[in-house]
Amino acid sequence: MLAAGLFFLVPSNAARAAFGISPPFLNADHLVQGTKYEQVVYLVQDQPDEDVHIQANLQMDQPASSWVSLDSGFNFVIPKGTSQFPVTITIAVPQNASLGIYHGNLTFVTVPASAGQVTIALGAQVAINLTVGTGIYEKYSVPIISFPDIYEGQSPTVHVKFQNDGNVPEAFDSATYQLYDQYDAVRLAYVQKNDGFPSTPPFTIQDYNIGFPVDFFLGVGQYWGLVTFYKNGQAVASQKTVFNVLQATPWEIALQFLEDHWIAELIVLALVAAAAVFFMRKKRKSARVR
Amino acid sequence: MSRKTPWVVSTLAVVAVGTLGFMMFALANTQNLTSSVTVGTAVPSIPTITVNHGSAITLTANATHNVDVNATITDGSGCTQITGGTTTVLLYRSGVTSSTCFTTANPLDCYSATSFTTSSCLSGTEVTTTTFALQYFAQATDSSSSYSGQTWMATVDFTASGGATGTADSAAGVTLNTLTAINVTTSSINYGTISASSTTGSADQVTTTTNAGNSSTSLQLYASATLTSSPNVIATSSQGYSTAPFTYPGASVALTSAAVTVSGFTLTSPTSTTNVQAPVYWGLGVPNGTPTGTYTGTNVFQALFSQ
Repeated sequence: MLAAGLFFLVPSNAARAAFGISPPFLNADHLVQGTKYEQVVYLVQDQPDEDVHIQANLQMDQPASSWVSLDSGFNFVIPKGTSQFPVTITIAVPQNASLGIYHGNLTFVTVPASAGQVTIALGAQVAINLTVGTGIYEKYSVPIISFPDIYEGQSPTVHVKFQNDGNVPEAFDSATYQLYDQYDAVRLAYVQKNDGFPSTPPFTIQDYNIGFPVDFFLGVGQYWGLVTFYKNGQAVASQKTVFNVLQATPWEIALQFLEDHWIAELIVLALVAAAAVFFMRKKRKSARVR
Repeated sequence: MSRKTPWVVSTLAVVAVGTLGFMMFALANTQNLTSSVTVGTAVPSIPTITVNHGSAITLTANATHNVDVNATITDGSGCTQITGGTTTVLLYRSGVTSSTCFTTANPLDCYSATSFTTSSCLSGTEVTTTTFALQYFAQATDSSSSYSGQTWMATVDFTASGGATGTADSAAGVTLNTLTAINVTTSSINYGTISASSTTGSADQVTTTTNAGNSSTSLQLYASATLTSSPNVIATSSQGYSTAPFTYPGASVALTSAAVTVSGFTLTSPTSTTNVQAPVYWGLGVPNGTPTGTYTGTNVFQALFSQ
């Protein structure tokens, strides 16, 4: 009877899709106690024709496994139509963490949608290597400096993308801004700024704008700007390019003027207050006459 | 008209006069700076070039992924010089250098285009976008790659309609991330019908695994769900695999429920769209006493980065 027992494994005709991960490693070599480290990995596929269920599994030296979390959770769905799905891995090192080196891996496996068939699931792995130490590690870069267009009367503005790969907060110390005419021939203004630079936390990327006020009205047209950022007395990033000053309504000009001149702002407030008092008095007087 | 209307009108008049006075004051305090310059033959310049909006590049498995190169092109002679001009835009791994890339395009490390898109030209300045379709095997430059320390950069070479030329490189390149990915070209392992107490013998089933990324890749195998025909199961170790044909069990390795790296199996990084692939051979032994039924299970093929 047993020898006559048969079984079948049913083939699936479903088309296969490529599946993988980028990057397949997380190397955080300069962690210190209390640090929070984040890295985005992308689960990628070439045929996102249907929802894909994903099961993540973490294997890590203890106690570091409790430091790791995923913004997606460990069971999630990549929606149909998504060829690159970002997962943010966060490493939160406790204040009382033991100094040392911790290894592990994080796997992501597709959960086959079809039941009742023999299926092949695809998986990808992120190797995790953490080093918790005590030393200060400084590393940063400025991959983007751009000059957005502004409206007439506004101050020139510089957009910065600051990437801090170190384990301490970083910020510029100072900056210089030179404004030139549309031919890049005549310097119209020179501005030095020594404060007001946002601090970028460790292991993060931050985008922000920095204004460089000039003491004259910047009219419609095209200008060149040259900005240089300094840290510890050294020039660390610089960019020269053109930007446009666009036409603004009188009301926008007035608002910008108020922003730049607090005395004018006070005068307007006083005028409004005087008008209110005047109106109240007249109202009371007319009430007495009645 | 009510009796209080004149007061309302008076109040509004005061506010209006005040506001008007303020705006006149504001406008009177503005200065319009004028400048003049003698302009000769203008040369186009490209003051800014940005790759992938300043972010690292992530490729897509077994497919192309679009990467933008944005450039600002200016020409003091006006927009007609730009709109009537010609351009070559390069996107390349920095170790290749622009001079090499100008002459030899290669999907591994150098892409070239001769056009861009733009919304409008204003005062002799145009912001352009060129989109490149990077192949999944374009070379990585991140910390664990063979080209660590390099970046992907762009160079724009522009010739205005008047013949003047300008060339510039992107001030900063971006990292291209390692992609570890595979594609198994078969969706199932079909052992067919086998009696209890017998095996697949030399009738191996074959799965073909293809490298769908830009790194060398090892393969890990395991069963996430053992063969089951509820309530009966066939032990996971009854499945065996090998990188070479075998007669069960022969030289096959017994499948496990924990991931095991397949010995001798490495897919090198592709250098073109020609597949880099390798087979795995599968066999099965059905233990004596296994009840008749339709057994199903799941085997996991896991890509493992190996540079």
